[in-house]
Amino acid sequence: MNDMIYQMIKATLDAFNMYPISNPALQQQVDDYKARLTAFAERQNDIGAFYGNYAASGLQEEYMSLITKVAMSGTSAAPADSSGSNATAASLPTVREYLMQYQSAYNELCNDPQRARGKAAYEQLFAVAERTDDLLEAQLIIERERLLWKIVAEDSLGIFENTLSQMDPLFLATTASLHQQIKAYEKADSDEELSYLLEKTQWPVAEAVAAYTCKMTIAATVASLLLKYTKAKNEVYLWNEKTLKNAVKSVLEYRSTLRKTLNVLHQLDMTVEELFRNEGAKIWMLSPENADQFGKHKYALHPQNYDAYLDVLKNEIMADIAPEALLKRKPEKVVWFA
Amino acid sequence: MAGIEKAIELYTLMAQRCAREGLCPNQAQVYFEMADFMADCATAEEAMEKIKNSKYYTAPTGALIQDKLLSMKKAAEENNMSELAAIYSNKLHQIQQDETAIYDSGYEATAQAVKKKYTDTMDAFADIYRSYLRLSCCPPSDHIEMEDAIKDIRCGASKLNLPSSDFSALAVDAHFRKLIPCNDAGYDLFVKTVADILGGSNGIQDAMEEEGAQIRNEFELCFEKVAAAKDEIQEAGRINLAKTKATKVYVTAPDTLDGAYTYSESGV
Repeated sequence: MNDMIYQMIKATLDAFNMYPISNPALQQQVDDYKARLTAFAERQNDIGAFYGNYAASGLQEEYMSLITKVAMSGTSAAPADSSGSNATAASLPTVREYLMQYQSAYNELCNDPQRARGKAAYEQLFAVAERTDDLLEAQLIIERERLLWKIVAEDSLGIFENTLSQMDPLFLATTASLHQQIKAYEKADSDEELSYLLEKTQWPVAEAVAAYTCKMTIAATVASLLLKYTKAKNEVYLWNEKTLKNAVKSVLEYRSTLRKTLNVLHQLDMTVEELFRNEGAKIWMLSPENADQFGKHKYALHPQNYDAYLDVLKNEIMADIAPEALLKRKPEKVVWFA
Repeated sequence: MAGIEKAIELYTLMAQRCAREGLCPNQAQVYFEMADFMADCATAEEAMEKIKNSKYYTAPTGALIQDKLLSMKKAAEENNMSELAAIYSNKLHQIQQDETAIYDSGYEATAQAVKKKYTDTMDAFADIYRSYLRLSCCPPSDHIEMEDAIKDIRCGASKLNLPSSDFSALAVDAHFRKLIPCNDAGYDLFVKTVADILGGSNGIQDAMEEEGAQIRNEFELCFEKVAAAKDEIQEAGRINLAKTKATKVYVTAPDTLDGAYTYSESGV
C-alpha cells in the first residue's frame, strides 16, 4: 500500500481503538469494515483521487455510521436519554464529547486548502454543540440537516472544484467526468443515491468524452493536412525542377484529402465556420502541448493560423479554383510554423 | 420532549428520509420497525438495551449493504449491463439466504472485473470510430497511415467484450450509437466500412487506389498550366514566403467553459 494512503486511513482505523467494544457482533462489523477499508486502500494508486474514491465507495459514510455506533455502545446509550432525569445520565457523553469522534478526521483536512468546504462542513457539525446540550436533540439536528452527509458531499465537492480550477475547462475529455461527479454529489442525499448516480454517469461521461475527442481529432487532422498542404505549396514556390512535379502532386493530393476530411466534418454535423467558432475544438488546430500538469497553460502555434487556415479552406480547398490559380494567390495572412 | 420520544422521532425521521429517497427501502423498513419496537420503552436507554438484545442491533448495517446492492443493481440494469446486475442480484439472494453474507465483500472484485469488461468495450468502440476517422482522412499515397488505421480498427474490435464481442451487434445498440457523435448517414458508412474491414474486404484500399488515380489524372491535366504560370507562381511565392515566420505562443485556458483562450508571445 502507498505510504501516504496508509497514513490517510490509519487515523480512521485508529479511531475505533479509542472505544472499548464489548459486543461481539459489533466487533465483527468493525473488523469487517477495517478489512474492507484496507483492501480498498490497497487498490488505490492515485493519492489525488483517494478521497473522492473513498467517498464514492460509501466507506466514508459507513465509517461515520459505524464510529457513532461504537462510540455510543461504550456509553450504553445510542441514541441516549440525556434528560438528566435518570440515574445513569451522569455517564452519558455531552454533545461536545459525542462530536469529538469526528475530531481526528477534521484535523486531517484542517490544513489542506483544497478541503476548505469539507472543513466548513465539519465545523457546522461541531457547532451543534453550541445549539443544544441534549445529545438526542443534537442527533435530531444532525439527521434533519443531514450534517454527516454534508461532510461527505461538501468535502468531495471542494476537492473536485479545486481540481477543476487547475484544469483547462474546455478540455472536456478530462473535465467531463468531474462535471458529472459534481452533478451526482450535488443531487445525492445519501450514499445509496450517490452510488446509483455515479454508476449512471458512465454512459454520459463516455458520450461527452467521445464527442469531444472526435472534434479534437478532426480539428487536429484538418490542421495537420493544412500544414502539409502549405509545405507542399512552399516547395512549389522554390521551383526546383527535380522536386517540382512531386510538390504539385502533393498540393493536389492534400487538397483532395482536405475535401474528403471536410465531408467527414459534415458527418459530425459541423461546418467549417462552426469548427472555427468552437473554442474547445479549434485549439487543436494549433498543435498544443501542455505547459503544466493539467494543461491550464500550453505552448501552441500562433493563432494567426486560424485566419490563414480559414482563408485557405474557403479560397483554395472548398472553392472551385484551378491549381495554377491557387498557387498564384497572395493571401494577407499565411500559415506560420513552429 | 422526553428522551424516548426524541429517539423514536430520530428513527422515524431516518425511516421517512430513506422511504422518500426510494433507493433504501430496507433501511426505511428497519428504521420504521425500530421506531415501533422501542415505542413501549420508558426511556431511550431502555430502548437501547432492548435493541442491543434483538435483531435490530445489526439490522441497520445489513439493510444499508442490501440497499447499496439494490441501487447498484438498478444502475447496472439501466446502464444495460445485465451481467453486472446479475452479480448484485446474486449477492442480494445470498444475503437473503444467510445474513452473515453481508460480511463477505468478495463480490466487489468480481463486479469490478465485469464492469471493466463493459467499460473497456465502450472505450474500444469509441477508439474504432477514431481510427475510422483517421482512415477516412488519410491521403491516398500514405499507405503506412492507412495500414495503421486498419490495424487499429482490427485491434479495437478484438477488445470488444461485454455486452457483446460482435461489432455489428454493438453497432445497433442505442447506447453504443450515442458514443459516435456523427449523423445517421455518417454512422451507416462507419458501420459498413468497419464491418467490411473486419470481414476481410479490401474495399477501402481499392477506393484509396482509385482516389490516387484521380489525383494523378488531375496532375496530368494541370501540370502544363502550372509550368506555364511559373513567373506568377514564383512571384506569389516570394511574397508569401516573406510573410512566413516560425513562432510559438503561450496559451492560457479560460476559467470557465464559456471563456476563450488567451495567447501571448512573451515567455515562450
